[in-house]
Amino acid sequence: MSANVQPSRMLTELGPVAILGSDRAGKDAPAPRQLLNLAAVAGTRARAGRRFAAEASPIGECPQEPCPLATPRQEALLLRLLGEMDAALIVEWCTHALAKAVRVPPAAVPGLLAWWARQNRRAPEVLAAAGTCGSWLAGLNPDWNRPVATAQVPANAEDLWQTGSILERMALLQTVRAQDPARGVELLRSTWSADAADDRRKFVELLLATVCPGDEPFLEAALDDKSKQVRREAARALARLPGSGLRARMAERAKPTITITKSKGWMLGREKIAIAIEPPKAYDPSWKRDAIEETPADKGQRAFWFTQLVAGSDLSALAQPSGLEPAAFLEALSGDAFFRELLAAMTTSAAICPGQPDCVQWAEAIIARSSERAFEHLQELSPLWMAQDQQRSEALRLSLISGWKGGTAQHMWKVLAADPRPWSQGFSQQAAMLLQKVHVKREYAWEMGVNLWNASHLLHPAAAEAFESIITESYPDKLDPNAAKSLVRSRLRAEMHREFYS
Amino acid sequence: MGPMTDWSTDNVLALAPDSGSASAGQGLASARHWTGLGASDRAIWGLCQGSGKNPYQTRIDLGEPAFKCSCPSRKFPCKHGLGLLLLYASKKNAFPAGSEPDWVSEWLAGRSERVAAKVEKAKAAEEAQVDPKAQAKRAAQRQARVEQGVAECRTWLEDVVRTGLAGLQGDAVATCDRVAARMVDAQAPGLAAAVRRVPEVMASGAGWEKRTLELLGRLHLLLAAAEKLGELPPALAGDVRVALGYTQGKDEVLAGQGVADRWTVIGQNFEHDDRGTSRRLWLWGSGTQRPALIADFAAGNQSFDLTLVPGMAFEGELAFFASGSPLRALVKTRGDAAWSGSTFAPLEQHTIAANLQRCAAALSQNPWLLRWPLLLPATRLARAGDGWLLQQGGETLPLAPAFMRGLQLWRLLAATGGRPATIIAEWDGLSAEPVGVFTAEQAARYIELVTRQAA
Repeated sequence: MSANVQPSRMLTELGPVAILGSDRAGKDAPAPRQLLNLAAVAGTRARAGRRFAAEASPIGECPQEPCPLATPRQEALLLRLLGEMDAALIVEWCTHALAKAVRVPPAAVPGLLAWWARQNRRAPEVLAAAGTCGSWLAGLNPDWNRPVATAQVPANAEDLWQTGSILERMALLQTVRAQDPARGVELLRSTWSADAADDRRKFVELLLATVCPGDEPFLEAALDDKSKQVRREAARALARLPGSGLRARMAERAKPTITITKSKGWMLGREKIAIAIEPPKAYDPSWKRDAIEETPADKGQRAFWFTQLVAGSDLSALAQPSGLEPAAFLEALSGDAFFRELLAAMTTSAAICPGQPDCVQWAEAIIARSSERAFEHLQELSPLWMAQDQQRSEALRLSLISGWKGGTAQHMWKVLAADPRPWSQGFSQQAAMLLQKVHVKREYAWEMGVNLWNASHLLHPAAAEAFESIITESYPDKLDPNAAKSLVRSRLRAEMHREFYS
Repeated sequence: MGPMTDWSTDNVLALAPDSGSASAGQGLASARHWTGLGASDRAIWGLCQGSGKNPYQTRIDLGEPAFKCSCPSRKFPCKHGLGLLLLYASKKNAFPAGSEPDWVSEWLAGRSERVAAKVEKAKAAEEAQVDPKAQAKRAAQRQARVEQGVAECRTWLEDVVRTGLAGLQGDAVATCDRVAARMVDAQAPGLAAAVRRVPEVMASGAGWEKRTLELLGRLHLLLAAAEKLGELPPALAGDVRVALGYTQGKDEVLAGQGVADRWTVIGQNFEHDDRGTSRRLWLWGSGTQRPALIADFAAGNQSFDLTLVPGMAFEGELAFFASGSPLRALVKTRGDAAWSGSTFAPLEQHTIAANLQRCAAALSQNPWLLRWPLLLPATRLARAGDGWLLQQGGETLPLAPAFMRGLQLWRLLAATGGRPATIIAEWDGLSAEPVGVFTAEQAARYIELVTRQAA
């Protein structure tokens, strides 16, 4: 081998010798020192002399965007949020950016998309805020392209439904349902008899969130399914469907449990109404088809059956024989031995089927009756608050809290945070004022921290300072970890608000 | 060196030790957070109310800039310092000219004293070292150790090629670590680093044996040169000593002749180990048409010299370390700094071929050069099969696999929008790793593709 051979070819020839070792590479192989000499020369020549001629295919350019860039300070905030991976705040940043019609600076877009693609719930605001640059990059990166594409039903939906994995089929069903619910049911019917019981359950569970009148025949048939799990899911879905046959059957069963006695009053001939609850005495076998459970886990059988019947009924249908408005109906029953169970069941009914007649009136009446003793149901109440318009929900919650004597901070937080919508400025400030008055007991420090954390992303940024002083006053010695996190988050949100709106 | 007064928000943010500090500093960059703001011809100061009882005293020596704050933060510069400089950048008239309060002037006086003391101490140390006998003895000891290390490394290297790379493959990392540790003991850290690179290259996929052989060949060349160090011309001997891991005295370099030019900081890259972060700052001289490398190190969370950040340019002199192809340098003198755009010499001097030609010329003088800066105007990313490459007119360059795996590729794409831009990359002889880009779009702003923080 001479030094005149092309260096890269020489390295190719010497490679196998180096792998085997000069001792074993045959008798013509160069001695170690000679091999290294050749490698030194060829290597240095190759390093200095490499030239490249690869086939390159151009990519399309990113279209120019008219909308202005976020400021460096706004960008630095976004980078910080991405570093902390606080999903709620990243989405909030994007919402502000969209509201102010500024776009994420290009250099920050890849980090944002990479984060976004890893999320289970991919908020559309993020892709929108990433703008043209975001869609352009997503088109070039298969990892980021997937989430963009799922917004559309694939052309081979029917084939994919037949052959896909359970995860693919669930994703497909969700996508199809979002655009054409009836087509989703068609897909389900096409393979129903062949699908495994557990898969059938998962599919029906998916229908729950988007249940619509067109689903009823299918779900009604599923009440006769071989699998108990499928039957239960189908019943749950039908109980969420306003005006469904199942809800009507439930109301027919529930009505007899509320007995109404009318008598002529003495004064001015007004009618006097006495209402009493008489829970069912026995389990009717015909209830089984509508997935009414027979054996309770904890409470008495009769109360257990009663709450299930009421929870599946239209509340107005129960009150209708008495002719009373919701508030008066509850007032008339307030002394009953089963009132607590009734209130809990009614809460569930309003929560799972906000579309039933007069639900808003019922929600108000239930909320007004939810004194401290109904606290265990406050979590369930959140759909009720949601059913109100935001202003009304906030006013109701404030009046509820200020009406309580001796309510603890924990109770207040639960009511305040029961509605998952962000708080208005006025509500945030009033809530902070109320809470400042409540002494926090030491043993609740952890729970309080959790509540603070929940509140820290609902709070209006203008109330951040008041919120901060609640936190520092509640923990004079040492911040609970959640409280510390809440403090950071609340400051960040206030800062973000300033960056975008002042 | 005059104080730099034309700070912009971006430039100040580039000084932040991390994004958290940057963001926190921005929160404080408004006059309502400050009282007692003031400025003199060399410094600015202000009081910031923090969570403590007394407001923090924040002061900045504009000459360097140097920061000092009474807050307890370990970050440097702290958010107060950044906030104050940001405020200064955006609203100079918030700082009325006035005489320095005691807590400012005392600090500044202390600083100049400390600087003087440092010089003094260095001088004293130098004088102490000038005991020629002791010095000669230390040098002879080290030389003996290094010679022994070179001999051991030679034995190991020849053993490897005799028995074959296949035999090394099983426990390459452990074996090379052991040999490298021996080289550290022998006071030849350059050899240790070269040996440690072997397992990495062996695991680099198809064609690994050619790349490994190239690396071993280079190591062999270094050992051969070290064996006859005394016979080599001084410049080459200097490069061999650097490659072995000898450090060159900075004072000696600074005492030498400087190269005057308009120097632009065109890019930077970072490398991390358990001791801290090393930084490579790449400079380009627009008159001399040559690159320079300023290498420095920051332990732990320490800050780098903040007066040099990519995108800025200054008139001044660089003093180059002795080498067959001088690249590494120190700043000798420096005039006022300004923010440079991406205006470099005509394209024909910065074609891919011209860049590689310059690199080849440097390698011909110093074959142990590890990295060379590429300054590539009018260059864009293009597809090549599943991967990507750099394209400038009809020429192309391969990209480092690590660059394509990470987010940097996407940052470069996003920053350029697929359009041609001035891309700064590091070249290792095989592939390019872009570290920054000047885009025409954003007012010729330098966009960093690498970050100081370890991944």
